[in-house]
Amino acid sequence: MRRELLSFKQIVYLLILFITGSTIILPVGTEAKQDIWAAVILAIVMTVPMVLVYARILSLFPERNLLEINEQILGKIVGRFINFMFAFYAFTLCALVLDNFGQFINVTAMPETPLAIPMVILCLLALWATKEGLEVIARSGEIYFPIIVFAAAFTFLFLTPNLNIQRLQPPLHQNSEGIVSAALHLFSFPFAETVIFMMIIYSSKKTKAMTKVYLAGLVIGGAIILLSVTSVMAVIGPERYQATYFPAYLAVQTINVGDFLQRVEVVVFLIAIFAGFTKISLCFYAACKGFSNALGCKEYPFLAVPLGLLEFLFAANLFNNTKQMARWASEVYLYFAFPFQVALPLILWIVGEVKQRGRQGSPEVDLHDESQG
Amino acid sequence: MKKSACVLLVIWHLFVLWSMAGCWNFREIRDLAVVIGASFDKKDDQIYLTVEVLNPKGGEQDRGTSGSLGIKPQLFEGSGKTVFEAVRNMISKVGRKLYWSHARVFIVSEDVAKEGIIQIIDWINRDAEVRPQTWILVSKGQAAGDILRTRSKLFDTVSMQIDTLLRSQGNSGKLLAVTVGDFMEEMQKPGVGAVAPTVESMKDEREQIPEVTGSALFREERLVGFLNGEETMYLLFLRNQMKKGTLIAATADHPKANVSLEVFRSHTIKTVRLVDDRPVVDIWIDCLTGIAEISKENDVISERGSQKLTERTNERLQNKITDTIKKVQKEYGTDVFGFGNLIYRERPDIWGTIPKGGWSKVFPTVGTNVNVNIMLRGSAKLSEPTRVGE
Amino acid sequence: MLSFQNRQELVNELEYHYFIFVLFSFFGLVEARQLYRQKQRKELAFYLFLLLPGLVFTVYMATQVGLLSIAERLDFWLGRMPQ
Repeated sequence: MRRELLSFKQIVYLLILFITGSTIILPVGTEAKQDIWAAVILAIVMTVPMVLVYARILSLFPERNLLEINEQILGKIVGRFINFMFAFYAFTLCALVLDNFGQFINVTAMPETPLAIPMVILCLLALWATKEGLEVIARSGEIYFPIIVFAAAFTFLFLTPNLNIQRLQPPLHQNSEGIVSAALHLFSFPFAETVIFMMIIYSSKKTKAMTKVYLAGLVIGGAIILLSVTSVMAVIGPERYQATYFPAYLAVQTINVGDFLQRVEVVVFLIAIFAGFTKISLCFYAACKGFSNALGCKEYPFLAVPLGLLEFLFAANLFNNTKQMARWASEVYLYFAFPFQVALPLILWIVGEVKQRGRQGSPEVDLHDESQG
Repeated sequence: MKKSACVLLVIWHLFVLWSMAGCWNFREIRDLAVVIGASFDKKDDQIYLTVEVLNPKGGEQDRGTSGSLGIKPQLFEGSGKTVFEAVRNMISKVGRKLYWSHARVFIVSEDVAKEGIIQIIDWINRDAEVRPQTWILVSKGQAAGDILRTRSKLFDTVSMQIDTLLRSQGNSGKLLAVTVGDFMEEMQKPGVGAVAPTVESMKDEREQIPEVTGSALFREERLVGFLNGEETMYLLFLRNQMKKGTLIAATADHPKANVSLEVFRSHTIKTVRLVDDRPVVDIWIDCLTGIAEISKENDVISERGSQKLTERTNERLQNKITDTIKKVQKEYGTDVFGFGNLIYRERPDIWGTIPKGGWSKVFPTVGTNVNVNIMLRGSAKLSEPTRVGE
Repeated sequence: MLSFQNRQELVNELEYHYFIFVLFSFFGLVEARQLYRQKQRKELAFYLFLLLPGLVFTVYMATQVGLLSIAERLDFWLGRMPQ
């Protein structure tokens, strides 16, 4: 099987796009109200140890991604079952993000177009990207990244006159419950979702320091999220932030520079679609890879078409309205994602450490393992 | 055979793709009825909606007169049990689908506002086409539709006149411009009552013209009272929204002589403290002004004279502002000054001791302490009062 | 009988399900043939196993109005009624 090599920079770009993906348009961390900045920081701090675990697992087994590591340390049957679970997680996540974008476009721009149309278009794009391979996704990420940075900087610059620090007051007053709850939600969406990356990247000579890659992506992506949600909160205030499905859109609507530069909501679409495309493609790619591994096939691209159809059908039937989407995102997703984001990686890490120690003790096993892999 | 089947399939496929391409619900500009202003009235449980729709084709002969673009507005009326029903019912009268993205002004009648404004404002905020940057006004004492039925003299439509006026609100200093988004936020925020400007139709020579006069005060979602233009100015000072305007000051030497001051810049700082378990709000207003008019020959420009003038003006302004606060506290009981929000923001510990929903009871007892500091800068083109020769 | 008076009507008649069905059937034919030629029997079996139910469900979806969403179904199974 052809190995797909990514450079350090490409992985970091993908991580940033993945983290910003749909987070930037959705009302994340509403429980924290005006202290959302604190919740984001807390969530990043909570994610750092998890990310270190992810990176450690990958570094323990160079040249292998999560799927192969599972097979190696848990045995064929258990490993493939776990891979199937991870693939299902990626598949579900992809459907959720697709649904978010479908709802976003449906609610804000094209209320009369069926919800499924934007979804099927994004789904076809993801399908195509997966067929072309990870390198293509990474290169498209390289192209998108500067555009998104420019668009986001431009938007932020013109939002500054509307920022009102009073909307962030009173800071940190008897709100610890809200902050912690918001931070937990932010941890599960989007920061710890980077567990998907373990299924598609592996540590090699080219990307040696997995820890560095993961931390760089997390910190930069987290900083972008921090900046964006805080400024959105300072523009529309906690009450309206909570009441609307897509607060960033509402905030950007207020941009009005000299009656000339206004109605620039399209920029939000630009950012959301580019970053969202990356997130959807990566999840879909991971799902294809995971399923092909679980089914015991060597290649993955042949699964793209049937899975793409199922993905679309899944996403189209997931929720009937935006309220359901918001409710499930806030009440269910946290518990659904927990085993994949925390429990399984922790178990894998411990098992991996133990096995690797054993290997160091007896070089024969090492040789045996090498020949098998 | 196989090849031809393949080609057929491709052609069929292209046909399908071609027919699917393009916009799903494309709308040409000729299919739209662009709404520029709307008003909401209520009678017998029916919401009466009047919209001003631009007719870009009509009135081309008028082009060139008094800055007009030659646009003639058309008024349409529709009714329904809800706003949305009224909007949809109107299609049968207008003939086209109403397009709301360019609406500039929404006028709500006093009766609707007294009954509760959520029935209107929810739709405005919910609908994807309507923008939260639209101005909201309350028509005082008359049906909101009558405001749109007046005639603007310089502008093509009444809505355009009100829009331009509210955009440059600063110059008169007695106008408060509120967008639907701001209104919504103030209505939902803890410890602040929403305000909206009021609009009336005035008789001018032969025609009725629209006039924006003062402000309407809301408690929760209901209209509770009005402030006139002068009181609105003090409200602007208190909300730190004063940009430009005029102040009338009297001097000590000649009681009847007025000096007009032009406000260049104003800044208000509010802090809160507790005195005997009662919140007291300290208000400092720094106001940069210049002399715009002196109506009697008296000395207000020399150092001694100008000092006296500022002292007198400070005192006068302090009294007026305190009176306005007292009036709102006593008569309306709605915290349009945002004192509660100030306490919530800066002293959340005090806010925590007030039971939920109890602010409207506490607000009338809040003590205030107003300090005004007028700074004089210049006296426009003339360096001295206009003197009369002997 | 379809009447193609204008494009909008055509689109409404066909609905996007048809588009999806045609597109994925086309993909499916091409790819399944390729897999068959390359003698990847296991892959072909999985391919059809995943694709065919999807196509059947697409047709089913086109004929249904107001299907229960997956979220609602899960709510129902877990015994949690939506508020």
